[in-house]
Amino acid sequence: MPHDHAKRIVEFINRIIESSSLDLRASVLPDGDGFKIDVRGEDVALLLGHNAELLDALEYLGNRLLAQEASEESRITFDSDNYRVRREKELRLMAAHGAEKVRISRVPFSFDPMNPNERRIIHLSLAEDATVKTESRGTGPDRKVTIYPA
Amino acid sequence: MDDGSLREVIEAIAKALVDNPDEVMVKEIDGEATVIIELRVAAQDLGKVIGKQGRTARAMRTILRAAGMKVKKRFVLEILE
Repeated sequence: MPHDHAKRIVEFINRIIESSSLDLRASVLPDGDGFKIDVRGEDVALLLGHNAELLDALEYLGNRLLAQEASEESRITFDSDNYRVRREKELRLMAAHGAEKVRISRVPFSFDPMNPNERRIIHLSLAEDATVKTESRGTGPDRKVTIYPA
Repeated sequence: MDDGSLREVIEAIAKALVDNPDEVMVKEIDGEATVIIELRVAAQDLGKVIGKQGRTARAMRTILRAAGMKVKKRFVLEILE
């Protein structure tokens, strides 16, 4: 993705943040071969509360804008001080812990609803584990992962 | 905070997403604890501001909720055609 697309998204997001009186600021950061948008500030608790609901909302809107501007299919990640990496580690731990419970109890275990990205991390981290299987059920924001004994 | 700026937030988002930005109208109806933000768009743009499985509307409501926490007010988004 070209840098000027990322810059325009940042301008749009900062306008939203400012008009919302949130003490946050978005900026473009390098990320691998491309860019990501990093959001930080005093209101980080509001940004990352409820499983980063606000960060995900901003990411979704930023990508809607990108889809209109970019000709090719591209996506941009929104992050906050490497929250995505920290959250992935946490999800892998939750998956391992949930699988352990299911192995011992032989009773299925359901997580709270998660967004597609987070559900994917749970599925992937247990994909190699032959003792359990995972499945997503429910629709929209209520969709959640359940671990079953294999 | 000037609550009117949240009206601008919804207007900016809606105008960025629809095909007919000139037909975007946002009205704010102030109550004591609750502020209703009424978003009107052209009929063919309704899907654009609601989004797949309501995700765009949900994203706007999430922003309103976060902003509302700062001013201890509840903002309700109503989408009309």
